[in-house]
Amino acid sequence: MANTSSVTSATSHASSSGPAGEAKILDHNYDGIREYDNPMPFWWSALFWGSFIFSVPYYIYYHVGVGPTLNDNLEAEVGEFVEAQAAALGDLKPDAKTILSLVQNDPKLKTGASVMFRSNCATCHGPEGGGRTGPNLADDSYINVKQPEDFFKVIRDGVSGKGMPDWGKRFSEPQLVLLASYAASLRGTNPAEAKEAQGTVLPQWSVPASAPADPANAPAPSGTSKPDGT
Amino acid sequence: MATPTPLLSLNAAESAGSYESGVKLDRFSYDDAVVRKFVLATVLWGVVGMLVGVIIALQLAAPYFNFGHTPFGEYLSYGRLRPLHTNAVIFAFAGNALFGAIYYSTPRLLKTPMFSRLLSNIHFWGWQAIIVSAALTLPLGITQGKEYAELEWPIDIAVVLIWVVFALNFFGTLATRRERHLYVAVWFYIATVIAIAVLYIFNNIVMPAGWLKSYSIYAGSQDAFMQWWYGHNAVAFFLTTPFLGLMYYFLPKAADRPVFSYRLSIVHFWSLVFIYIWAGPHHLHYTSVPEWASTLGMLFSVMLWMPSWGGMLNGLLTLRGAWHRVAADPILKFYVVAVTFYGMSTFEGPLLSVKSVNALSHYTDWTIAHVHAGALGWVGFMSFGMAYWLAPRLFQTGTIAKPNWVGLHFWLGTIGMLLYIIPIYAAGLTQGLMWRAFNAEGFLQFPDFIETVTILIPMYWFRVLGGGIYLVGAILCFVNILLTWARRPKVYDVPVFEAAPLAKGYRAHPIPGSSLPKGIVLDVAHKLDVFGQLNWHRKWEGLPLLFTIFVVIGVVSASLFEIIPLFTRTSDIVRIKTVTPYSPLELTGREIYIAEGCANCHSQMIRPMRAETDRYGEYSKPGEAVYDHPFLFGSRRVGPDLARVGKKIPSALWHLRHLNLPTDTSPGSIMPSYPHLVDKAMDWSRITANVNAMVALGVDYDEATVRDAERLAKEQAKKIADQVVAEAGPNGMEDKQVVALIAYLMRLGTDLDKPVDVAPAVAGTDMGEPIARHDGANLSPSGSQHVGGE
Repeated sequence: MANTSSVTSATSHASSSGPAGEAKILDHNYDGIREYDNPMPFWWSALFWGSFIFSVPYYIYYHVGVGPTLNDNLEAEVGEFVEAQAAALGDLKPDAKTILSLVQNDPKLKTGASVMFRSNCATCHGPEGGGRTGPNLADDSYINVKQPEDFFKVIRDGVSGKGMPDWGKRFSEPQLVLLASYAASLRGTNPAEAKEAQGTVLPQWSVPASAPADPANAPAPSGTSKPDGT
Repeated sequence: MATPTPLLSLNAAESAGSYESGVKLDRFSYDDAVVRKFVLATVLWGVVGMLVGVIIALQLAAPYFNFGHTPFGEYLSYGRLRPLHTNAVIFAFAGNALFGAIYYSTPRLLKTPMFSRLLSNIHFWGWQAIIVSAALTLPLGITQGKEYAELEWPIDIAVVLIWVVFALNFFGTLATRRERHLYVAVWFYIATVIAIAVLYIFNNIVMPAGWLKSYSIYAGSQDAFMQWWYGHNAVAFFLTTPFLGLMYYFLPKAADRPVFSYRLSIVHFWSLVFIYIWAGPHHLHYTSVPEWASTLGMLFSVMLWMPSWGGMLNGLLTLRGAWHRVAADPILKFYVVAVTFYGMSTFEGPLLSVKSVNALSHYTDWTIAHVHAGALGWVGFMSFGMAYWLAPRLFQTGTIAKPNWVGLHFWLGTIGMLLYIIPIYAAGLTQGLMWRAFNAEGFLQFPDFIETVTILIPMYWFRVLGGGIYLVGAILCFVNILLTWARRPKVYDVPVFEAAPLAKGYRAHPIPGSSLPKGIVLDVAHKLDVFGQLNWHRKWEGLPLLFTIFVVIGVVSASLFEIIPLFTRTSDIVRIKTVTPYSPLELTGREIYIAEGCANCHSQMIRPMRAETDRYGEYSKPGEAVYDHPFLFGSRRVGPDLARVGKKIPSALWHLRHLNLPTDTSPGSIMPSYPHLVDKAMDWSRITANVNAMVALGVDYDEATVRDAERLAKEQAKKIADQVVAEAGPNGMEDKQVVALIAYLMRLGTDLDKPVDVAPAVAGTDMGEPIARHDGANLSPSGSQHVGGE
């Protein structure tokens, strides 16, 4: 058979030449396999050594020298965003007035709030707030909320043992106010797939359009409701 | 063929050295029986492994095919079958192919039969037994939970024993050779035998927690490093070096052309051996594995580019003068496409190792497309080409049974492969770009993870189609080989060869000196010149023991350069006071998480990028994973990251409903459902076994926890079951398996926020620094604090 009968005949020690000016063929013969002694292509050698030459200063710059760490890069990126956000949000206070006026007024901020809602809250409350394992936020009944500022407290502190996370470590106060405002704004939107009502029906928040919040819904003087629902 | 036992002389003069004349010639025959077995096993397991691949591709396109609500859904979910697919194609298909190649070519290259027929047969049957045990245990959820190292410890021991048998057989053959010098294919085989032994053993050191369960002795970042040191180099030394050896034998044979460049073989072989090992951490960019290791992984990957292309060049340029035959010979077509895909994959590998590219590609289907370009193109086509070339020779039929099918298989394979990888590249880019897209206001453009999944479904259907076509080609190959086997002669002809034994007192030719002018240049320049001429290597090729020692040095030294600092630099893994060991119930929930293969689709590693901290919360710290035996960072996000899922979803009812039927809580989800976890009773005996294993690994539980582990677990289970009820869920969950998994999920990522005084004191913690946060908690320009890293 072709492979087994390829009997080696010892070639002369000298080389013979291959096709078209091929480099010398070596006297190696392994089961009929021969080898040329071609040099490495120049571009190959250049890239081969080039990759070594590139690596040394790269490593030194980032791990001995002054190059930024991944953490530095993140801080710079976050810092930029934080400044822009802080400037856009301003100093939002967790009171009924701020919460309700945001509901009415600020479509641009609501874009951000809706993103935060979809990425963090929709898992349990549904993308439109109609409720899944979490309660329906789009009807008029509430379990742990009595007044607008309770949205802020519930979001910040969570409801222990009932599945509501505490977002106070994750978001800043202005962000929490924004989220509270977004949650409050869902009231009465009654999306198609909504969960049954839970808790007690609350009277409408009343705030005049583009005006300060109604004093009736202003923050209560002290702890009339607790965020954990007790 | 028909000639009875032809006597073939293989007696070549030792032309490179002195030779004593008048030596008696030895007579010997090769053991092709074991090669026949390996080749049949290759094509059989190839079909099986690729069929499982098509099934799991189908599961991603249509989750119905997880059969979640059928009695056998437990064994057929994606999380259980995906390891079966990877293990089958790597260890069964590619494994049998490379063993077949080694058992066929090594004896012929060394003019001696394999050292021992008995060892050959123990190797073959032992390896098949390992494959069968893998096929049985993986669907049962018996797994160590590390990718391509899933097999549990008793099977690991069998693998090591069989590998020792293989090594004895292989090195015994080298010792009894009649060819003085080792050909380049054999160099690559040596590297394979050595490196796989080292890698496999050291990544699989585990603490048993029963006969079918064990936990890695390494934890967190260190375990992640060890795993990808292994995982990357399994690709290197199981799917690359042996297949390069295969290429160096079968390609010049099939093309009947000399190898392009001997010196390129030398340079690219040694550079692969010395560089490959370092590159593992490129699988862990932006994770809590130390950044210096990640940078080394990237740089050595870039350095690997040319050494890899050396193999491609030697493959393709060997075909110079034979290209006209490629058009006519489908076997050569297989090789040409295989080597081309090798070149593409080994360019893409370094590219994906560059951190900024990896930031986009990691956790996406880009990796899957890359892997399949290499696996289907390089490993698959080399193996098929070899099988077609060998079949008529091994079965002594002269020709393959269905010559036309070979060409058909080539086109089915090529088209199937392209239909697979192109849509999956698109899927990877799509998802990667969606994850990091911000809208004009600076918020995530696709905040809902599921949006980034459902958009991929059409591409997943293309993958089913492409993979299916590739599978049809593999089936054609299997049938064709079987038909060829059916035509075998009643009695196989066993040719007898004769060759002279290695001459005693052999003296190698002296190494030619430098041609540089004497006296003008320095002595060191002469030495460099001699070194650069590479003639010294010829001597090494005649000294297999020395050669092997150099390979060991290459593999081990590179490993130690990274492993020693990783395990000794305490500053890399800063302990966090509030991070405490998992509770006994959570630990067993983690066991279930591993058994169900959740880590195949869910990462637990938030990278330090705003797109990630915005979506998932603060990025993962090394100190958070110090109790993770094994680490569960994951490598692909088919579903969202779970590192902080306990912070986001502390709802027991949500997890219960989600695990029972994912679309119930997450419309559009492609996750399998796990009703069996809700139905099946907890095996409380696992609690103590798991805690004891962790104690043996040095996890600092207090005595009371160890003593009362089961009672504590039952208390926590009751608490979670009560929460389910309080959330208006069903009764009676306290003794179900799901409750342990829920406990684990609700724990994930919560430690960072625990108040320090609540956390029980843990011995050995020496760190209480505040953790810098980037997820918005300190949303003021001065809010973020440095934790003082590098």
